[in-house]
Amino acid sequence: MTHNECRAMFVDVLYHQLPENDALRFEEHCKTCAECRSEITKLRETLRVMNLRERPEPDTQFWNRYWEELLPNLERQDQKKTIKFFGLKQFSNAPIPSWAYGIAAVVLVAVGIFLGRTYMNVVPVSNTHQEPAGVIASSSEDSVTALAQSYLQRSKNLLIGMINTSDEHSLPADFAAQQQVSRDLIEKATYLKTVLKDPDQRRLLQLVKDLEVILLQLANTEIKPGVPVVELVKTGVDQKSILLKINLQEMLGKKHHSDSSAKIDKHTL
Amino acid sequence: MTDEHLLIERAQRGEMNAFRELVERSKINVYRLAYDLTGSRHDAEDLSQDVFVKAYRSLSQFRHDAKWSTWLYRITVNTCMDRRKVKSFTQLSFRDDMDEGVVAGAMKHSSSISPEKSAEAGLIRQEIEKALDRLTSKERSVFVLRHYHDQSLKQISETLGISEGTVKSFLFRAIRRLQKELAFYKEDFGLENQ
Repeated sequence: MTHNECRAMFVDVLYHQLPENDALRFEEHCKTCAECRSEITKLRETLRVMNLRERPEPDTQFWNRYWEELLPNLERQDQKKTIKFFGLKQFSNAPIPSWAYGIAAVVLVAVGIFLGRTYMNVVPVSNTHQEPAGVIASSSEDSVTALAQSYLQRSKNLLIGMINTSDEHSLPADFAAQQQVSRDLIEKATYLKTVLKDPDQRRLLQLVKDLEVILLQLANTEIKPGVPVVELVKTGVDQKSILLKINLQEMLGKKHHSDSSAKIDKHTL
Repeated sequence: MTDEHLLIERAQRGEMNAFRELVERSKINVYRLAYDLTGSRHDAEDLSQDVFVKAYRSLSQFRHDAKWSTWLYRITVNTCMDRRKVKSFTQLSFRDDMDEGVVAGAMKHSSSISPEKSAEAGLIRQEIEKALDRLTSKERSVFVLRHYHDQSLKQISETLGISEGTVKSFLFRAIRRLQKELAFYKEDFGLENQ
């Protein structure tokens, strides 16, 4: 018999569960193997020490009032069992079938998706062309310029509002409203890009495009804590010197407007 | 069909007296197992009540090919393990209980043996509880079921839902660990030659 075979018998030896033949083989091995003999002796001693253990028994009062204390808890279980569901079905002790858990999980997921789509999701704004509602039908130069000026003014207000937020790492309180304004402006930008074709409007077109990139970032940012939105906007604005360009464009627009007025006045006179 | 199975059937039909009889028959064993698993008298008292509430709640799931005591032991082991997870066996109350047990043990023996021997015996019992506490939940469950509740390896495997081979392996590991934990004290208290 090997050591391993002998050790595999230790538990059965300790609890006297070894068949007679194996017991004889075990004893024979231990006679010649000091290691196994010493080990089984130590284990036997350990069990003997464990027999010195005593359990403190509860006092008789505990046993006397055992049922009286248990009964209210059992009755509460009975009350739970008889809760009626819509007055039709009585819950019983029967286990809930696994398919019911499956259905419950599917319903929960569906409700989650519905709620997520309805209340939480930020609708990505595509860059495809859509005719904005309320856009002036006429694409005459003046109306286009007026629309562009309005677009620039609103964009500037939005960006200044964002940039002046004190904490760069937290979302502005009215960020959802700012995203909505961004989406409106993107629609206008999409329209403006189709009508700003005059070579004189090249700079204005470029500015509209630059602004649109920042507005798209803004509109498509998920509302999550820790997203550095303000920092992103600031970087975009700084890189393109957007505010400076808007100011210049506004000044040019005013000049253009006054020139046109002067021309008209002169003509009228 | 045994008397026990008849009682279970009656209890399953909602006869509270039948369930009471089952409780009366098994409450001491359930308390003792809970104590062996927790080492705390107060926890064992609470847990034994929890065990019967759980048993009552799932009485309809009891299959008559199973043994009532095995089923109840399984609930007891699971309840104690759950409590251990939640509470990590609150060390403070555990130690308090242990001291109480040691004192009780010393008092019990004081009439028959000298105070010195009695104190020694109390300390040994304290060290035994500490050694048991160092076993894993599975090792401790297997050991106490085999050593203090005389359950066969097959019964333990049914109670714990693991194979007999695994039970044997846990039992061996438990005894080896206890041996290591108690080796020092055996020498210290002169138990080697007893």
